[in-house]
Amino acid sequence: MSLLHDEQNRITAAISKKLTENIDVISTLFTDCADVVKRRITVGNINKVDIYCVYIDNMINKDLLEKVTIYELFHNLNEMPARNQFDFIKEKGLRTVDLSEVITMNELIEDVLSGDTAILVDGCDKALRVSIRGMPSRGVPKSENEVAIRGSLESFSEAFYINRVLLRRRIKDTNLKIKQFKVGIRSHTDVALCYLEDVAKPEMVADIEKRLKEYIIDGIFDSGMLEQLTERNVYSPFPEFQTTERPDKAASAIMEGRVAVLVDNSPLALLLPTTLNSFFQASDDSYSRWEIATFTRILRYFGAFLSIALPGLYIAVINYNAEVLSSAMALSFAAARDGVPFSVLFEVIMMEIAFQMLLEAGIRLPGPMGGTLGIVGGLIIGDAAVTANLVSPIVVIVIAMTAISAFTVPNAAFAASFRIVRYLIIILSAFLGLYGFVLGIIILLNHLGGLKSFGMPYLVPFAASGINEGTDTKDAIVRLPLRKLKRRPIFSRKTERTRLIRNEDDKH
Amino acid sequence: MFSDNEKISLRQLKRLLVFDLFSVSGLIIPRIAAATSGKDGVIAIILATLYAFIYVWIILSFTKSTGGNYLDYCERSMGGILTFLIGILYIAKLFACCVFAVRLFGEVINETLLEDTDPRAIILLLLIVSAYAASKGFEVRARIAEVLYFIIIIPIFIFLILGLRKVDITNLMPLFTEGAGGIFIGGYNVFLTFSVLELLLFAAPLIKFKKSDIRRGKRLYHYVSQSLVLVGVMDILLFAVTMGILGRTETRRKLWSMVNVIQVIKLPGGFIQRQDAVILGIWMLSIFTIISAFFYYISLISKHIFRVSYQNYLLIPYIILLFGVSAIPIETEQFFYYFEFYMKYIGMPQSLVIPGIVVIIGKIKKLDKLKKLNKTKKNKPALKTLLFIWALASVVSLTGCSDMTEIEDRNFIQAMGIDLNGNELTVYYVLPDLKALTERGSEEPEKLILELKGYDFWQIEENYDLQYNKRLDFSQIKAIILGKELSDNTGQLKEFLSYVENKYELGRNTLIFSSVSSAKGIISLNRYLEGGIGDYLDRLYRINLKNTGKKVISVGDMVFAMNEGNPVINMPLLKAGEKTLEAMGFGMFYHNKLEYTVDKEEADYIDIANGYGKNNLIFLTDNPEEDLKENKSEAISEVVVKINNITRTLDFARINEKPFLTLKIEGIGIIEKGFKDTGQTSQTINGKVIEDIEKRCNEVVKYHISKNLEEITRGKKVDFLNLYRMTSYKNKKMWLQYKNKENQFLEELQYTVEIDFKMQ
Repeated sequence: MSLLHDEQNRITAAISKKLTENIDVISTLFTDCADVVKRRITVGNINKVDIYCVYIDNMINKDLLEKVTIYELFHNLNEMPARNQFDFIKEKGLRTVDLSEVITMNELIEDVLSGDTAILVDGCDKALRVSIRGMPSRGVPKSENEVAIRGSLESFSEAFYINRVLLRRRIKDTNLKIKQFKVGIRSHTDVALCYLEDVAKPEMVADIEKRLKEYIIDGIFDSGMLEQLTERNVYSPFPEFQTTERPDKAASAIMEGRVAVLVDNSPLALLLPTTLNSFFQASDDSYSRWEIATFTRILRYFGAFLSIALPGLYIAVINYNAEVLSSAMALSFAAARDGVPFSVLFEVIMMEIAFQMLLEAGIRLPGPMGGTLGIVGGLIIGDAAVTANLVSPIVVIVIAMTAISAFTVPNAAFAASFRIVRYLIIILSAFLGLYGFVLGIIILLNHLGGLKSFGMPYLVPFAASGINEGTDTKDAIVRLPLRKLKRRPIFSRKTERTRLIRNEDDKH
Repeated sequence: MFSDNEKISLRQLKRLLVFDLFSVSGLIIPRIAAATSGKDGVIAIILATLYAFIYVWIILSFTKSTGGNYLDYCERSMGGILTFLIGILYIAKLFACCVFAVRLFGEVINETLLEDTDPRAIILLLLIVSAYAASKGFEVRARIAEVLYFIIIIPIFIFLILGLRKVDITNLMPLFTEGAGGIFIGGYNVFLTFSVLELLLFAAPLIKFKKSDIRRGKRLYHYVSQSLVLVGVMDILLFAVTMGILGRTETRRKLWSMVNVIQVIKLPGGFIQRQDAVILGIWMLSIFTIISAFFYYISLISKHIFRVSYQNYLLIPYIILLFGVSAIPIETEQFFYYFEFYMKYIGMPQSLVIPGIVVIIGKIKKLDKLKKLNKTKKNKPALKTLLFIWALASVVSLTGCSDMTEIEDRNFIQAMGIDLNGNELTVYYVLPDLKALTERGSEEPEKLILELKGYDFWQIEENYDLQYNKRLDFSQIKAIILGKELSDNTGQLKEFLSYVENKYELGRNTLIFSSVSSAKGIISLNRYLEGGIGDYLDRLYRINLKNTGKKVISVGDMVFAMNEGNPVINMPLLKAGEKTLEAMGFGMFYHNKLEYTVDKEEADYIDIANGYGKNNLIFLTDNPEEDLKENKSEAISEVVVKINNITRTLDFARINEKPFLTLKIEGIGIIEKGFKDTGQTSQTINGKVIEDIEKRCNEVVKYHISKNLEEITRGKKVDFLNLYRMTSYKNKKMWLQYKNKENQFLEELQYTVEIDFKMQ
């Protein structure tokens, strides 16, 4: 830390009445900062005063700044009084609504770094903050990772202010609170808690706020970092937060009484508290007919089970409990394995790792090459390995089925945890057959049973089916018709559980 | 439920109790009930459930009197030293229960799923994972129970309901034959399995009531009662299915005999061949809840009496202790004997006496009810992680204990033929042609049949191990063929059936056949039959013979007959042609020996008499006298009648102090050949022709059934209709009169046969 900063990187210098002193401080702070634009201007006619403008190049809307600020400062300040010049400049010299006073140097520098323009006036120990931001952004992108057949195509972007707008556009209610603060002593990342004040549980909001402020970190660049800092079960592969890039999903969660956390520079919102069930809910479930939504939900749950269990089950059955299989199947498996030089365990792990490498490489490679890699890795190498009798075709089917099943879960972070758990089940099944498989499932269930996300047990509503008058199970594995989902889930305040009633006025 | 305060809801308690009461007890209740109350086991279970209602009422009264926290109350009532001693008694009891549960399930897993694995590895992992579950606390246990509740209970329930179809009612009837003493003792013995209800003393303060629950005691009793009713129903079903399928002898022979039943019941659908591993897997899920419960309560009591700050610290020493005791080389049956003795005379009385004394002394001292509950300290994740890592490390380090054989290293036996030459057995194992399966040509036919000789089946297995490099695997066997000489030799056949009984891998539902000559002749047809002899016989039954309503005879039926002694098994007879195989009729096995054979035609009539023939053809000639002759040629049949919808009614009565049977068979006959419709103008003629055929058909069937009854049942004393067994539920008095006097019954039996096939 320099002399101008304290241990938490806050600027200790105060705004001085002498502009030259302020200029010295700012110049020292922004030494070798090529992107910072600073200019001292003298404004007024008979009574002149020196002002000092600071902003970061390309973080502001230059055109607008010139028109509404600089132009006005040069042309409309001829009647500059001898006293109260600061107030005169504020009233007459700046044509913008988003204007405020800043009284500390720390605040001033933070605002400048966030894209505002600061104007210091000689003889005054406060400054003006003009917010005419104009940072480059992608605009409102299209959702790519959470594709839905029906519903909005919009996605959150890296621009924090756009994300706020996307939420506000969906919930036009004064109760939607966006509580904003900064995290990271160097990055000064904007973080916002978005919730419905009368629906979300206040203790939960307070807990989230407390946890967000629990650590002092130098920088946060994505919501993922924040997530890791605030979670309680550090050693669990299962996420305590639900992430989404879809504003409609975030808005829907807020309506249920949950809290959405927006982090600047992150295109993903964090939704909390979360439960295992919420990871299986896709945004278009609410837009589809209930039968279809239910069917796809069941598929997702089954897919999740397969993605965890299939390789382990395969090994257990093949090595220990072949009697489970029908005769034709058992013999066909035996025939397929004939001549394969590796053990079933090695074969499965080898193929599983190969697939994971393929997946990782596919993500890292540029778009067009990713597809080629899929064809080369999946089809050509897979086929060659089977033809060369290095692996049995059944294992290829098992691994492919496992991979496909994992993708049915609409949350990538949650599905990723299956990758780890799968190995536990594989190892246990390899050494103890079906017994090992059951051991693995018990360990997993107990682990999940003990998990909580901000006080909410992970297995709700399955582990507490009677809660909330049993209504939470209506939107779990089975999603009942929208008309039946009259109550908000357990996340919301007890007094605000009703979300749907028949409009009695409409009867006539 | 939500706030890490170790509180659970009433619903969760109910579900936890169902698991605690059913998971281990379900395995042993059929045996306990059958051993002490025999056919009256159902009554014993009902009685035990009633005892449990009273017992739980007493236990809940104690919890009410102690104000919830039993141990704290105990300390205030009896003082620290006595509380310590009482705690030790509870720990000892829970410890014994835990060891028994672990040993029992360890043995079940070892003998069913992991035959080649060191049982100590199974036990150790069972303990570690259960301790891990216990370390998560009471709330997590409750959550898991709630999640697993339907996943476990519904499949088992459906499975048991499906099993009812296979129940032989003669094994369960008549009721009230064991005497009141037997039933009451049986009831008490079964009631011992409800002893976990005692744990409500400790669980009561962990239950969260709603604010609206003013009458908390009543609500608690109401919820506990629901679980008792459910467990009672499940226990009755389990007993009915186990006893009904296995019979009393086998049910009482093994502690976990009900596991064998799982193998016999077949689920619809062809994906899973044998569902026993799946059902056991589902059952296993519930086992962890009870063992983790023992761990939880042992550590809870220990924490209190040893004044340990953190309950989970005690789990690791208890794992070691429990493992040490569980691994003591003693037969589980022997252990059960001691355990049952302890529970009968110490464990169960103690559960009422100790809290009774505590409450009485408390009342004398006029102790206030304790309102404040001990706050359980939050679980420490480090210890749970340690347990988790230990579990994983154990798995990896125990790899040597597990002897797995990869699928390609197994010889999946498709069919087995057994011949007896003098004292020496020759066994033929038929292997599948894997080359043909993968379209890589075909294996030489000689290589697909392994011939082994020995004086018993264990020796043959040993010889196999010395001669072949792949593991002998019976899990996919489809058919067993017995040679003529073996079928005639009671001793050797019994030995074979005992071998099958103890060989869990060999499915009880494997088809069994008898050869008119040697098994070798049948087995050697393997090369000519599509898919091999095993697959051929399996399909023959599943497709063609099933269509004619033949009863499937499996090796399980033979084991049942061996154990029960008197049922007659009508085993299909096979005859080898030059390149073909032919089903020839029945071989009647009685007292583990082939007593009588009938040809195909008579077999059809016996099927009709047994009530399970379908699409049976009756051939009538133009000469009614010819119809009643034996070995008439089918070529000269003028009329062919297909019989369907057969219903058999048997009525036993006592006439002149002798048993009198009225055998009535009804059905529908369709005239397939020999009837020409003469048109609307000749309705009377048509009716007359039909009436004539109907009369002749009924006469023919009656003649053959009467002849068989006379020749086989009365003449040879082979009760091919199992009439004697049937009296057990048809006529209790008669059954009691002829109890253990089967020959006398058959000699004195009078009968009349009434046949009523309506022609269409």
